[in-house]
Amino acid sequence: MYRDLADEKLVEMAVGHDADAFGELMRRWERKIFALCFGMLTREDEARDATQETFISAYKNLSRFRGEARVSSWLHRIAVNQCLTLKRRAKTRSEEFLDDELGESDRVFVAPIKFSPGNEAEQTERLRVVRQAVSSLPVDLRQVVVMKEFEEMTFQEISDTLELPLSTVKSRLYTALKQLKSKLDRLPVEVV
Amino acid sequence: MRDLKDINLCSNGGDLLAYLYDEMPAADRDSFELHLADCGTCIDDFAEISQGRYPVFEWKSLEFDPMPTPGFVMPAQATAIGFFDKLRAAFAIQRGFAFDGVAIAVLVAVLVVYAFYLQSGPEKDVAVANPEPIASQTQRVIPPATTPDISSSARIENDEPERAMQKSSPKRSAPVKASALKPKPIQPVRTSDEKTQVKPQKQLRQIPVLSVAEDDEDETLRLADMFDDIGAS
Repeated sequence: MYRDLADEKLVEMAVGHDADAFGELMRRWERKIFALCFGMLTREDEARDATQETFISAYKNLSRFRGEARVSSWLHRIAVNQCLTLKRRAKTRSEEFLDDELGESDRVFVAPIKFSPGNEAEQTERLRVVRQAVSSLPVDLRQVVVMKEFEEMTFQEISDTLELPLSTVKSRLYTALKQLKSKLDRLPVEVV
Repeated sequence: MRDLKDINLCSNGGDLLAYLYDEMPAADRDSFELHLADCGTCIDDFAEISQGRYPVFEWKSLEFDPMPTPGFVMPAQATAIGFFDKLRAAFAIQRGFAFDGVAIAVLVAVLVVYAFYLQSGPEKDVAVANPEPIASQTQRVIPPATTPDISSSARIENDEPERAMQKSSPKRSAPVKASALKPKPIQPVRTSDEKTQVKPQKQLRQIPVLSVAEDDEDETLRLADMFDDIGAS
Protein backbone atom coordinates (compact mmCIF):
# COMPACT_ATOMS: atom_id res chain seq x y z
CA MET A 1 0.00 0.00 0.00
CA TYR A 2 2.68 2.55 1.05
CA ARG A 3 5.26 1.45 -1.49
CA ASP A 4 3.53 3.21 -4.36
CA LEU A 5 3.14 6.52 -2.58
CA ALA A 6 5.44 9.51 -3.10
CA ASP A 7 7.63 10.77 -0.30
CA GLU A 8 5.62 13.96 0.14
CA LYS A 9 2.42 11.98 0.53
CA LEU A 10 4.03 9.77 3.14
CA VAL A 11 5.10 12.86 5.08
CA GLU A 12 1.56 14.18 5.01
CA MET A 13 0.27 10.85 6.31
CA ALA A 14 2.98 10.77 8.96
CA VAL A 15 1.97 14.25 10.09
CA GLY A 16 -1.48 12.78 10.59
CA HIS A 17 0.06 10.31 13.06
CA ASP A 18 0.34 7.45 10.60
CA ALA A 19 3.34 5.59 11.99
CA ASP A 20 3.41 3.10 9.11
CA ALA A 21 3.81 5.92 6.63
CA PHE A 22 6.82 7.20 8.50
CA GLY A 23 8.10 3.62 8.71
CA GLU A 24 7.96 3.36 4.92
CA LEU A 25 9.77 6.67 4.67
CA MET A 26 12.50 5.31 6.94
CA ARG A 27 12.80 2.12 4.95
CA ARG A 28 13.30 4.09 1.75
CA TRP A 29 15.85 6.52 3.10
CA GLU A 30 17.69 4.66 5.82
CA ARG A 31 20.59 3.45 3.71
CA LYS A 32 20.89 6.71 1.79
CA ILE A 33 21.04 8.77 4.95
CA PHE A 34 23.51 6.29 6.40
CA ALA A 35 25.71 6.66 3.31
CA LEU A 36 25.64 10.43 3.68
CA CYS A 37 26.50 10.25 7.37
CA PHE A 38 29.27 7.74 6.69
CA GLY A 39 30.70 10.10 4.09
CA MET A 40 30.85 12.86 6.64
CA LEU A 41 31.86 10.94 9.74
CA THR A 42 33.89 8.07 8.21
CA ARG A 43 32.99 5.85 11.17
CA GLU A 44 30.34 3.21 10.88
CA ASP A 45 29.12 3.37 14.46
CA GLU A 46 28.89 7.16 14.49
CA ALA A 47 27.15 7.08 11.13
CA ARG A 48 24.52 4.74 12.58
CA ASP A 49 24.01 7.04 15.52
CA ALA A 50 23.70 10.03 13.23
CA THR A 51 21.19 8.18 11.03
CA GLN A 52 19.08 7.31 14.03
CA GLU A 53 19.23 10.87 15.31
CA THR A 54 18.26 12.14 11.86
CA PHE A 55 15.03 10.17 11.75
CA ILE A 56 14.18 11.03 15.34
CA SER A 57 14.67 14.68 14.54
CA ALA A 58 12.64 14.35 11.32
CA TYR A 59 9.78 12.70 13.17
CA LYS A 60 9.78 15.43 15.79
CA ASN A 61 9.78 18.15 13.14
CA LEU A 62 7.31 16.65 10.69
CA SER A 63 4.98 19.59 11.18
CA ARG A 64 7.70 21.99 10.06
CA PHE A 65 8.02 20.38 6.63
CA ARG A 66 6.36 22.89 4.36
CA GLY A 67 6.50 20.97 1.15
CA GLU A 68 8.48 23.65 -0.70
CA ALA A 69 11.60 21.51 -0.85
CA ARG A 70 11.87 17.86 -1.64
CA VAL A 71 11.77 15.35 1.18
CA SER A 72 15.21 14.15 0.20
CA SER A 73 16.70 17.64 0.59
CA TRP A 74 14.91 18.06 3.90
CA LEU A 75 16.28 14.77 5.22
CA HIS A 76 19.77 15.53 3.85
CA ARG A 77 19.88 18.84 5.65
CA ILE A 78 18.79 17.25 8.92
CA ALA A 79 21.42 14.53 8.48
CA VAL A 80 24.23 16.99 7.73
CA ASN A 81 23.31 19.05 10.78
CA GLN A 82 23.27 15.92 12.93
CA CYS A 83 26.69 14.91 11.62
CA LEU A 84 28.12 18.35 12.27
CA THR A 85 26.70 18.26 15.77
CA LEU A 86 28.27 14.86 16.39
CA LYS A 87 31.59 16.10 15.05
CA ARG A 88 31.55 19.10 17.32
CA ARG A 89 30.78 16.87 20.27
CA ALA A 90 33.54 14.48 19.34
CA LYS A 91 35.94 17.39 18.94
CA THR A 92 35.03 18.73 22.36
CA ARG A 93 35.40 15.26 23.82
CA SER A 94 38.80 14.77 22.24
CA GLU A 95 39.95 18.08 23.69
CA GLU A 96 38.78 16.97 27.11
CA PHE A 97 40.21 13.47 26.77
CA LEU A 98 43.36 13.53 24.77
CA ASP A 99 43.44 9.78 24.47
CA ASP A 100 40.14 9.73 22.63
CA GLU A 101 41.63 10.74 19.34
CA LEU A 102 40.48 9.20 16.16
CA GLY A 103 43.13 6.90 14.91
CA GLU A 104 43.56 5.41 11.49
CA SER A 105 42.13 2.12 12.72
CA ASP A 106 38.87 3.84 13.65
CA ARG A 107 38.18 4.47 9.99
CA VAL A 108 37.80 0.80 9.24
CA PHE A 109 34.38 -0.15 8.04
CA VAL A 110 32.62 -2.64 10.29
CA ALA A 111 29.94 -4.58 8.55
CA PRO A 112 26.78 -5.03 10.60
CA ILE A 113 26.44 -8.48 12.06
CA LYS A 114 23.49 -10.16 10.40
CA PHE A 115 22.99 -13.85 10.67
CA SER A 116 19.68 -13.97 8.90
CA PRO A 117 19.80 -15.96 5.68
CA GLY A 118 17.45 -13.39 4.18
CA ASN A 119 19.85 -10.60 4.99
CA GLU A 120 22.76 -12.54 3.59
CA ALA A 121 20.89 -13.20 0.37
CA GLU A 122 19.96 -9.55 0.17
CA GLN A 123 23.56 -8.53 0.72
CA THR A 124 24.80 -10.93 -1.93
CA GLU A 125 22.30 -9.58 -4.41
CA ARG A 126 23.22 -6.02 -3.51
CA LEU A 127 26.91 -6.67 -4.11
CA ARG A 128 26.13 -8.29 -7.42
CA VAL A 129 24.21 -5.22 -8.49
CA VAL A 130 27.06 -2.93 -7.42
CA ARG A 131 29.56 -5.00 -9.38
CA GLN A 132 27.32 -4.75 -12.39
CA ALA A 133 26.95 -1.00 -11.99
CA VAL A 134 30.68 -0.43 -11.65
CA SER A 135 31.37 -2.65 -14.63
CA SER A 136 28.98 -0.67 -16.77
CA LEU A 137 30.86 2.58 -16.20
CA PRO A 138 32.98 3.94 -19.05
CA VAL A 139 36.59 2.82 -18.85
CA ASP A 140 38.07 6.20 -17.97
CA LEU A 141 35.58 6.70 -15.15
CA ARG A 142 35.89 3.14 -13.86
CA GLN A 143 39.64 3.46 -13.84
CA VAL A 144 39.50 6.40 -11.49
CA VAL A 145 36.95 4.69 -9.22
CA VAL A 146 39.10 1.59 -8.91
CA MET A 147 42.25 3.56 -8.22
CA LYS A 148 40.52 5.67 -5.60
CA GLU A 149 38.37 3.10 -3.84
CA PHE A 150 40.33 -0.13 -4.22
CA GLU A 151 43.89 1.08 -4.56
CA GLU A 152 43.23 3.87 -2.05
CA MET A 153 45.38 6.32 -3.98
CA THR A 154 45.20 10.03 -3.38
CA PHE A 155 44.00 12.39 -6.06
CA GLN A 156 47.54 13.57 -6.61
CA GLU A 157 48.82 10.01 -7.03
CA ILE A 158 46.09 9.23 -9.54
CA SER A 159 46.92 12.42 -11.37
CA ASP A 160 50.58 11.48 -11.53
CA THR A 161 49.87 7.91 -12.55
CA LEU A 162 47.45 8.77 -15.32
CA GLU A 163 49.32 11.93 -16.24
CA LEU A 164 46.14 13.95 -16.03
CA PRO A 165 45.44 17.30 -14.39
CA LEU A 166 44.17 17.09 -10.83
CA SER A 167 40.92 18.78 -11.78
CA THR A 168 40.30 16.18 -14.49
CA VAL A 169 40.75 13.35 -12.01
CA LYS A 170 38.29 14.91 -9.59
CA SER A 171 35.85 15.66 -12.36
CA ARG A 172 35.96 12.06 -13.58
CA LEU A 173 35.41 10.66 -10.12
CA TYR A 174 32.60 13.12 -9.47
CA THR A 175 30.90 12.07 -12.70
CA ALA A 176 31.48 8.39 -11.96
CA LEU A 177 29.90 8.59 -8.51
CA LYS A 178 26.91 10.47 -9.87
CA GLN A 179 26.44 7.89 -12.60
CA LEU A 180 26.73 5.08 -10.06
CA LYS A 181 24.09 6.71 -7.89
CA SER A 182 21.80 7.07 -10.87
CA LYS A 183 22.32 3.47 -12.01
CA LEU A 184 21.75 2.05 -8.54
CA ASP A 185 18.60 4.11 -8.02
CA ARG A 186 17.07 2.61 -11.13
CA LEU A 187 17.65 -0.97 -9.99
CA PRO A 188 14.90 -2.80 -8.12
CA VAL A 189 17.22 -3.77 -5.27
CA GLU A 190 17.67 -1.07 -2.66
CA VAL A 191 21.39 -0.70 -2.83
CA VAL A 192 21.65 2.77 -1.42
CA MET B 1 42.20 29.35 6.74
CA ARG B 2 40.63 30.37 3.50
CA ASP B 3 37.86 32.88 3.50
CA LEU B 4 34.42 31.54 2.70
CA LYS B 5 34.08 34.04 -0.13
CA ASP B 6 37.09 32.52 -1.84
CA ILE B 7 35.63 29.04 -1.86
CA ASN B 8 33.57 28.39 -4.90
CA LEU B 9 32.00 25.20 -3.66
CA CYS B 10 28.91 25.17 -5.74
CA SER B 11 30.63 25.31 -9.14
CA ASN B 12 32.31 21.91 -9.05
CA GLY B 13 32.65 18.92 -6.84
CA GLY B 14 36.38 19.20 -6.24
CA ASP B 15 36.04 20.29 -2.65
CA LEU B 16 33.18 17.89 -2.07
CA LEU B 17 35.39 15.01 -3.14
CA ALA B 18 38.33 16.26 -1.12
CA TYR B 19 36.07 16.43 1.94
CA LEU B 20 34.51 13.04 1.25
CA TYR B 21 37.88 11.30 0.88
CA ASP B 22 39.44 13.23 3.77
CA GLU B 23 42.04 14.93 1.62
CA MET B 24 41.12 18.43 2.62
CA PRO B 25 43.35 20.33 5.03
CA ALA B 26 41.94 20.62 8.53
CA ALA B 27 41.60 24.39 8.28
CA ASP B 28 39.64 24.15 5.05
CA ARG B 29 37.45 21.45 6.53
CA ASP B 30 36.04 23.82 9.09
CA SER B 31 35.25 26.38 6.42
CA PHE B 32 33.68 23.75 4.22
CA GLU B 33 31.49 22.45 7.02
CA LEU B 34 30.24 25.94 7.78
CA HIS B 35 29.33 26.37 4.13
CA LEU B 36 27.77 22.92 3.91
CA ALA B 37 25.42 23.63 6.79
CA ASP B 38 23.93 26.55 4.88
CA CYS B 39 24.10 25.51 1.20
CA GLY B 40 21.26 23.21 0.18
CA THR B 41 22.81 22.61 -3.26
CA CYS B 42 26.08 21.42 -1.80
CA ILE B 43 24.21 19.25 0.71
CA ASP B 44 22.29 17.48 -2.05
CA ASP B 45 25.44 17.22 -4.15
CA PHE B 46 27.41 15.79 -1.29
CA ALA B 47 24.60 13.38 -0.43
CA GLU B 48 24.48 12.22 -4.03
CA ILE B 49 28.16 11.41 -4.34
CA SER B 50 28.19 9.88 -0.85
CA GLN B 51 25.35 7.58 -1.86
CA GLY B 52 27.18 6.72 -5.06
CA ARG B 53 30.38 5.96 -3.23
CA TYR B 54 29.09 3.97 -0.25
CA PRO B 55 27.96 0.83 -2.17
CA VAL B 56 31.39 0.59 -3.78
CA PHE B 57 33.03 1.08 -0.41
CA GLU B 58 30.80 -1.61 1.11
CA TRP B 59 31.56 -3.97 -1.76
CA LYS B 60 35.26 -3.49 -1.26
CA SER B 61 34.98 -3.88 2.52
CA LEU B 62 32.97 -7.07 2.37
CA GLU B 63 34.66 -8.85 -0.49
CA PHE B 64 38.20 -7.54 -0.75
CA ASP B 65 39.30 -6.47 2.71
CA PRO B 66 38.96 -9.99 4.22
CA MET B 67 41.36 -11.30 1.62
CA PRO B 68 44.83 -11.82 3.04
CA THR B 69 47.46 -9.56 1.67
CA PRO B 70 50.00 -11.59 -0.29
CA GLY B 71 53.51 -11.47 0.99
CA PHE B 72 55.92 -9.82 -1.35
CA VAL B 73 59.55 -10.81 -1.31
CA MET B 74 61.81 -8.03 -2.42
CA PRO B 75 64.60 -9.17 -4.70
CA ALA B 76 68.08 -8.98 -3.28
CA GLN B 77 70.06 -5.94 -4.15
CA ALA B 78 72.33 -6.44 -7.10
CA THR B 79 76.00 -6.38 -6.21
CA ALA B 80 78.68 -4.97 -8.43
CA ILE B 81 80.15 -7.64 -10.71
CA GLY B 82 83.90 -7.51 -11.09
CA PHE B 83 86.16 -8.82 -13.79
CA PHE B 84 86.91 -12.09 -12.01
CA ASP B 85 83.24 -12.72 -11.41
CA LYS B 86 82.58 -12.37 -15.11
CA LEU B 87 85.49 -14.64 -15.90
CA ARG B 88 84.29 -17.23 -13.42
CA ALA B 89 80.82 -17.03 -14.82
CA ALA B 90 82.09 -17.53 -18.34
CA PHE B 91 83.73 -20.83 -17.40
CA ALA B 92 81.19 -21.93 -14.91
CA ILE B 93 79.34 -25.11 -15.67
CA GLN B 94 75.78 -25.27 -14.87
CA ARG B 95 74.94 -27.57 -12.03
CA GLY B 96 72.65 -29.70 -14.14
CA PHE B 97 75.28 -30.27 -16.78
CA ALA B 98 77.88 -31.13 -14.17
CA PHE B 99 75.60 -33.68 -12.59
CA ASP B 100 74.83 -35.24 -15.97
CA GLY B 101 78.53 -35.44 -16.79
CA VAL B 102 79.33 -37.19 -13.54
CA ALA B 103 76.49 -39.63 -14.08
CA ILE B 104 77.67 -40.45 -17.60
CA ALA B 105 81.27 -40.90 -16.40
CA VAL B 106 80.14 -43.31 -13.69
CA LEU B 107 78.06 -45.23 -16.21
CA VAL B 108 80.96 -45.51 -18.63
CA ALA B 109 83.27 -46.68 -15.85
CA VAL B 110 80.80 -49.36 -14.84
CA LEU B 111 80.49 -50.56 -18.43
CA VAL B 112 84.26 -50.69 -18.85
CA VAL B 113 84.68 -52.72 -15.69
CA TYR B 114 81.92 -55.07 -16.75
CA ALA B 115 83.43 -55.52 -20.20
CA PHE B 116 86.80 -56.23 -18.65
CA TYR B 117 85.22 -58.79 -16.37
CA LEU B 118 83.49 -60.52 -19.27
CA GLN B 119 86.69 -60.63 -21.23
CA SER B 120 88.97 -62.00 -18.56
CA GLY B 121 86.82 -63.61 -15.92
CA PRO B 122 85.20 -66.70 -17.56
CA GLU B 123 88.36 -67.81 -19.34
CA LYS B 124 90.26 -67.74 -16.09
CA ASP B 125 87.54 -69.71 -14.39
CA VAL B 126 87.57 -72.39 -17.03
CA ALA B 127 91.29 -72.72 -16.82
CA VAL B 128 91.19 -73.16 -13.10
CA ALA B 129 88.11 -75.32 -12.76
CA ASN B 130 88.50 -77.55 -15.72
CA PRO B 131 91.84 -77.78 -17.38
CA GLU B 132 90.42 -80.26 -19.85
CA PRO B 133 89.00 -78.71 -23.01
CA ILE B 134 85.25 -78.89 -23.23
CA ALA B 135 83.57 -79.18 -26.54
CA SER B 136 80.67 -77.05 -25.55
CA GLN B 137 82.81 -74.08 -24.65
CA THR B 138 83.11 -71.48 -27.31
CA GLN B 139 86.54 -70.43 -26.30
CA ARG B 140 89.63 -71.69 -27.85
CA VAL B 141 90.13 -75.20 -26.60
CA ILE B 142 93.29 -77.19 -26.76
CA PRO B 143 92.47 -80.49 -28.40
CA PRO B 144 93.86 -83.52 -26.72
CA ALA B 145 96.84 -85.00 -28.35
CA THR B 146 96.21 -88.27 -30.00
CA THR B 147 99.66 -89.55 -29.60
CA PRO B 148 101.61 -89.02 -26.47
CA ASP B 149 104.55 -87.42 -27.95
CA ILE B 150 107.01 -84.98 -26.64
CA SER B 151 106.02 -82.77 -29.53
CA SER B 152 102.58 -82.33 -28.00
CA SER B 153 104.10 -80.82 -24.91
CA ALA B 154 106.00 -78.49 -27.09
CA ARG B 155 102.77 -77.58 -28.79
CA ILE B 156 101.19 -76.75 -25.43
CA GLU B 157 104.08 -74.61 -24.42
CA ASN B 158 104.04 -72.87 -27.75
CA ASP B 159 100.42 -71.99 -27.30
CA GLU B 160 101.07 -69.81 -24.31
CA PRO B 161 102.33 -66.76 -26.24
CA GLU B 162 99.43 -67.04 -28.59
CA ARG B 163 96.99 -67.21 -25.69
CA ALA B 164 98.61 -64.18 -24.15
CA MET B 165 98.17 -62.30 -27.36
CA GLN B 166 94.51 -63.24 -27.46
CA LYS B 167 94.04 -61.97 -23.93
CA SER B 168 95.60 -58.66 -24.76
CA SER B 169 93.53 -58.17 -27.89
CA PRO B 170 90.06 -56.72 -27.39
CA LYS B 171 88.47 -59.03 -29.94
CA ARG B 172 87.25 -62.34 -28.76
CA SER B 173 87.71 -65.44 -30.83
CA ALA B 174 84.76 -66.68 -32.74
CA PRO B 175 82.83 -69.60 -31.31
CA VAL B 176 84.33 -72.88 -32.25
CA LYS B 177 82.07 -75.56 -33.53
CA ALA B 178 82.07 -78.98 -32.00
CA SER B 179 83.23 -80.55 -35.22
CA ALA B 180 86.27 -78.37 -35.10
CA LEU B 181 87.20 -79.86 -31.75
CA LYS B 182 88.00 -83.24 -33.16
CA PRO B 183 91.51 -84.34 -32.39
CA LYS B 184 93.89 -83.49 -35.10
CA PRO B 185 97.51 -84.19 -35.40
CA ILE B 186 99.40 -81.36 -33.87
CA GLN B 187 102.16 -79.81 -35.81
CA PRO B 188 104.99 -78.55 -33.72
CA VAL B 189 105.46 -74.83 -33.89
CA ARG B 190 108.88 -73.48 -34.23
CA THR B 191 109.45 -69.88 -33.53
CA SER B 192 112.52 -67.84 -33.02
CA ASP B 193 111.19 -66.32 -29.79
CA GLU B 194 112.94 -67.49 -26.73
CA LYS B 195 109.70 -67.77 -24.83
CA THR B 196 108.40 -70.29 -27.28
CA GLN B 197 111.37 -72.54 -27.04
CA VAL B 198 110.62 -76.11 -26.11
CA LYS B 199 111.23 -76.89 -22.54
CA PRO B 200 111.05 -80.22 -20.80
CA GLN B 201 107.49 -81.02 -19.84
CA LYS B 202 106.94 -81.40 -16.15
CA GLN B 203 103.53 -83.03 -16.20
CA LEU B 204 101.99 -84.90 -19.04
CA ARG B 205 98.62 -86.36 -19.31
CA GLN B 206 100.03 -89.71 -20.16
CA ILE B 207 103.24 -90.87 -18.77
CA PRO B 208 105.44 -91.61 -21.68
CA VAL B 209 107.44 -94.69 -21.87
CA LEU B 210 110.96 -93.72 -21.27
CA SER B 211 114.08 -95.43 -22.15
CA VAL B 212 116.68 -96.25 -19.61
CA ALA B 213 118.92 -93.52 -20.84
CA GLU B 214 116.27 -90.95 -20.37
CA ASP B 215 115.26 -92.17 -16.97
CA ASP B 216 117.67 -89.91 -15.18
CA GLU B 217 116.33 -86.85 -16.89
CA ASP B 218 112.69 -87.59 -16.24
CA GLU B 219 111.50 -85.96 -13.05
CA THR B 220 108.11 -87.56 -13.23
CA LEU B 221 109.65 -90.92 -12.96
CA ARG B 222 111.66 -89.81 -9.99
CA LEU B 223 108.56 -88.54 -8.26
CA ALA B 224 106.86 -91.83 -8.93
CA ASP B 225 109.75 -93.60 -7.39
CA MET B 226 109.58 -91.29 -4.43
CA PHE B 227 105.91 -92.03 -3.97
CA ASP B 228 106.62 -95.72 -4.18
CA ASP B 229 109.19 -95.30 -1.51
CA ILE B 230 106.75 -93.41 0.70
CA GLY B 231 104.09 -96.09 0.18
CA ALA B 232 106.57 -98.88 0.96
CA SER B 233 107.67 -97.18 4.12
